[in-house]
Amino acid sequence: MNKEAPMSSDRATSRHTRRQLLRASAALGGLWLAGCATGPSGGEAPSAAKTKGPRRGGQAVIYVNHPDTLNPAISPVSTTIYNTPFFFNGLTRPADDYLPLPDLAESWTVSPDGKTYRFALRRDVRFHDGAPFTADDVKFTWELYSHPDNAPGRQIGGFFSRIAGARDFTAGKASEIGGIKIVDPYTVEVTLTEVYAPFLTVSAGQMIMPKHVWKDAAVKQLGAHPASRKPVGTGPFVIESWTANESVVMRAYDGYHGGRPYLDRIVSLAVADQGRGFDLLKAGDVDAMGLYASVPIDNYEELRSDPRLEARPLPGLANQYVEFNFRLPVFQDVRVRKALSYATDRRALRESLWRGRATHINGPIHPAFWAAKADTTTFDGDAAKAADLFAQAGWKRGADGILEKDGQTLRFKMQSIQTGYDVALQDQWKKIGVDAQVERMDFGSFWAPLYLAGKTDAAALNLPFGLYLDPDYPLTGYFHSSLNRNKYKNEKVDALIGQATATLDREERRQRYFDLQETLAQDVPHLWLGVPDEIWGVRKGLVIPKKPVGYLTIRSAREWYRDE
Amino acid sequence: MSRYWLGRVAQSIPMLVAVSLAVFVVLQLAPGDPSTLLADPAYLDDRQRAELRASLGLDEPLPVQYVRTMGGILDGSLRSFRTKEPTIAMLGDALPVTATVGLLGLGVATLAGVALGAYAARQPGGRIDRALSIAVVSAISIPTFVLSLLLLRVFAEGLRVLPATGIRPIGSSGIDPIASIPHLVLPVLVTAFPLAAIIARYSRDAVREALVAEHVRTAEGKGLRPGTVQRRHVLRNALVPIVSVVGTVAPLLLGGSVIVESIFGLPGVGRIAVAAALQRDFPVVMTTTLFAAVLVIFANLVTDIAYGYADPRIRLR
Repeated sequence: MNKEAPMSSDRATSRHTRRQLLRASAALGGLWLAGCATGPSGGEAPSAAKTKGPRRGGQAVIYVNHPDTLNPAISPVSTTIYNTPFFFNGLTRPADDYLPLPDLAESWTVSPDGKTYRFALRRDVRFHDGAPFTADDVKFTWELYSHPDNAPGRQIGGFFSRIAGARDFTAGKASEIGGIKIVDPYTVEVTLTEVYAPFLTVSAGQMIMPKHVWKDAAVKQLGAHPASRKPVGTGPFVIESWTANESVVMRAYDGYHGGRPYLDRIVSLAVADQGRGFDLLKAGDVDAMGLYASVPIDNYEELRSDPRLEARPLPGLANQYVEFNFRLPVFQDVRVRKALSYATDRRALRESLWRGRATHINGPIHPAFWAAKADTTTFDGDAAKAADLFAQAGWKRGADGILEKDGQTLRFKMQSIQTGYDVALQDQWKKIGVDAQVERMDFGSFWAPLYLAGKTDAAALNLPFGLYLDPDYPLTGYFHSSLNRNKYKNEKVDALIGQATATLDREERRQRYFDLQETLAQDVPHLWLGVPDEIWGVRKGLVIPKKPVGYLTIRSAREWYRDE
Repeated sequence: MSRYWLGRVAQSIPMLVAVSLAVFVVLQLAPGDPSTLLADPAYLDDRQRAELRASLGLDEPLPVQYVRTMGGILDGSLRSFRTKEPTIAMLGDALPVTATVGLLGLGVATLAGVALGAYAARQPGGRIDRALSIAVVSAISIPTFVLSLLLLRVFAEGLRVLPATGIRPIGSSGIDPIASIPHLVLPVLVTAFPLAAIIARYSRDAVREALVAEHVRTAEGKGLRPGTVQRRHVLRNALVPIVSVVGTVAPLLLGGSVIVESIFGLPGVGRIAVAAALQRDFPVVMTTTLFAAVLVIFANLVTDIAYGYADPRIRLR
């Protein structure tokens, strides 16, 4: 009689696993599991052909994964990052190419040595509770991000660590960050210890919080403060209610400095997974889904053929890849890495796994960024060259068809949190005599115990990019020899990563990044396979401006409107 | 009598301690450090990661963590690693949803199951009885999620007579029982469906057994009206096994809520529990599993009390 129970809980777990993995992987900054893709260019005709222009009124129901908290100071994970812009603003905000635009700061100047920024703040900004926004809030927020007791927000604090005095403040040796000066209530001057190009985008782009709400809160208990669930910000929407595992309801902020949003309300539904989200989209309960909640690739044709829905494929935010761990001597030989790359047929992966809806980006910089290099060298799909390289490196086929050298066979484990391409690669590589043994696991079992501990052999995972505001973001953590987990070390790469943020000359930065991307392409420390597209589904009648990526689409919520 | 029940309650305490210890140990054995899912540790140095662990209390010796966790559940001060809400409050918010769906489902299942079973028992091997057997096997075999999606396709997405998601109209908040009724129909049906099948099966056998008992024949022989025989002599005797089935399936409701709540978008305990387990949110896992243990123990107590009403011979003095 108990048959039903265990059976159903197994099913539930597998349903949840996909979603939870997705959410857990948000910790990475944006892992992306559901294989879904579409050439960014393969979109539908704009839905606004007959539009009469934006009008006020109406509501939109969207499906976005819910965050743990709406306090931007303590949760450097993607769910928080893409939910907080509804309620908060930074001094700057990203343009469509991620260059900084004025937001709470109406303008800024940079000193000739590139180390001092002077921000002129808007004078017409009020928080949702009516209190005016001033320079006090800026200094307070930046100090909160850097506060010694703010362990969960330490990563965000890192964006401010180059402000003079910030390290002492974070170490508890100073009572304030001396490098942040309040010149007058609407002018802030910041002095850095070194030139740091992402300051305007990443640091000044962090959400500003109200000092009057938070000043007496114990920093260790920020998460438990009521305002972490009912944020008071300056953003285009005011929170109305947040019911856990159900919905976040927000209404337009009449006093928004960027102009009142067209929509009266946005309801963000918590949905168990993307399949269910698509059901609700078709049923008319959900008006839009997309960011980290892509329409499943299996439903893409159904989405396209439904006249009530608009299919909008956008470039995804995660580069699927295999990371070679250099602690294995075999991977220290660049010829072996190149050979594995040649032995990989990326087109076959794209067609079979992602139904053609993925783009191969051979590098760690998202194509939406100004610094992305489109034509890096890719060693791809050439079994003869792969065989050549293995031969040059001294590997010969053994009796069982597996490559051998000095009595060792070319056999390694491939720890995987991906489903799909891991076994596809295993197949492709088997043909040239490489035995990759796939070990699939859930994110929690993989991430800290194996990946962070540097204990993988080869890992099938994905590189998050495009959600953060500067191309610098994934580079240090994944490629700089001081922080990466696969013991890859190339001094030129280390140097380029540093040099690219040490100048404010964008052309020079671009050249450094181009150089870096080509160096990495030649070195093959990662085997990049493809960026599955993020497929947005939008119900006709809701007009959402076209943006290059999902994150910027979410940030455009003020401009969404009803057209029906 | 009250002394006996006090004793029963006291017995459950070591059981709860054992369950909590077991869950705590299993959590420690699960690979993956909860703190690594809260921030991206690729960007934290070792000292910062230690700091983050300490902020969750994960740096303390395990016995201290255990005692702190248990004490925190009791006094309500234990908070989720992720949302930082008190776990008891999270449970309290979610419980009414799960309890409503579960109890209504159990009620519907009991009424339908007993009625069907009693009906089928009148002609064993007859058409209705055989139909019931087939129905029972099918009902138990259909996975809940298949049934749920099927019903949603038909009633929510096809006919559009019932809502497809949530416990209340989209975008509303607060409790409005009337507005919630349409939202409850499908989840309650889905919850009741397999339980009704199980209960029907057991009721049929129990009623069948009672029907052929000698005292029933005597009653019939005495010329009592069939209705009276059914009520007083058959159902009354069949009630003991039925009560014990209902008592046993009740805790299964919590397991079933996991699927039902995910598919129907209900903010209940099942969703919290699964999310917490996968996100290594230890405080929430501990709270929800302890709650499940309490529920099982409580359901057993209630079953025992109900026996007493069904069969005076079991009643304690």
